[in-house]
Amino acid sequence: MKDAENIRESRFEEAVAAFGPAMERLARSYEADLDACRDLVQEILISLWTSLEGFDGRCSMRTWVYRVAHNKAASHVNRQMRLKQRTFVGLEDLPELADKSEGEDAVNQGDVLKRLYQLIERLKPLDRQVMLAYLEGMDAASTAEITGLSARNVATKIFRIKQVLAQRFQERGPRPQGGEQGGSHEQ
Amino acid sequence: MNNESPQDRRMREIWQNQKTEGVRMSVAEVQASAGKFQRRIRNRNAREYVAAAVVVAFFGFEFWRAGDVLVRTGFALLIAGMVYVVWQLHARGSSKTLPRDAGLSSYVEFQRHELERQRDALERVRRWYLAPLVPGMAVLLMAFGLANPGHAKQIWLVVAIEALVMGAILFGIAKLNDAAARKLQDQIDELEDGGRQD
Repeated sequence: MKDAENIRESRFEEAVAAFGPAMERLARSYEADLDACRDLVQEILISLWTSLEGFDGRCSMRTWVYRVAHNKAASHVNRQMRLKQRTFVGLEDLPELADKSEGEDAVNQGDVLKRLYQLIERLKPLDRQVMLAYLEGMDAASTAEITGLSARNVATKIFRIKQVLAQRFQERGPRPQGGEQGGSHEQ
Repeated sequence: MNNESPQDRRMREIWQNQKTEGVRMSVAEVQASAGKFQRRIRNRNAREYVAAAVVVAFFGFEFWRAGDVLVRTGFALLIAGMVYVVWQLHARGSSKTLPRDAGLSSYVEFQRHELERQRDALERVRRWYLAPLVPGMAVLLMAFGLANPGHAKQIWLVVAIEALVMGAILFGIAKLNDAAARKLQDQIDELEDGGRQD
């Protein structure tokens, strides 16, 4: 019993060390308000801790963590949809929607991130998950495992994501500031 | 990823290298928060049970006060109906807690299961929420009619109007729930289409 609890503790610590920053980025994508976002991160961690009691290695720890985090964050968004009557769009509808900052140039990484978040926040939860998985560098198979979509469907969505990103960012940026690479590194 | 352009790589670098606050919850803190969360859920459930207990106590008081067998039967049936509804609410659970096996389910599976659970509860609202209260209300209405034999016609007219109003309210509740269930079904269909398309 004690051993099981120790294993759970060490799994939790390893998961937080490996995926903590990704969980924060994910929470930020689902919740724009900073305090509410911190609460969401805490809720995800609590759900992760509770769920790890049932972790049996049938999938990788990364898949497990992302599933728990996405399921928790999507429940949060669904509650918001009911409370605030918010509506979201699918990836296929994005090109038709006017970009609020269409005329502006993404001059630095802060601008790019801001606009990325604006884009992600408008997406339906499932498309949002595919977009986040893409930005986190996951392949189509891993994304399919987390979302439950077919690998082919994921590939199609990624194709659309690339189109949307190219349309919105490629022509004008993103451009690094003063030739520096990346922002503040936490991983 | 295959076919990764420098632009794709750059976009992902910016995303992954953005500044984060750093998760600072220790195992002990998470355990404490999980305990607090469970207590909050238990307190919320307790509040719902207390509210139901107040209603049952009121019906119980009326049952005790009533001399007429039919009125007593009506209140007894209402109490039984309320207890059944509360038990059903408890059994059908809440969507505010994530199941322990959430890591085993993909988003599509998890979400479909949640939506189907909510849709079923709404679709069957006649059976588990409305129908259990009908016998008690019907018996009480009948008892009201029989308690005034001197004005039979007028009283039964009043009873008939009350029965119609109650019936209309129950019908309205059922229809609202049907509409909500249809919306959930649309979301389930959309989820399934998303899983199949392309």
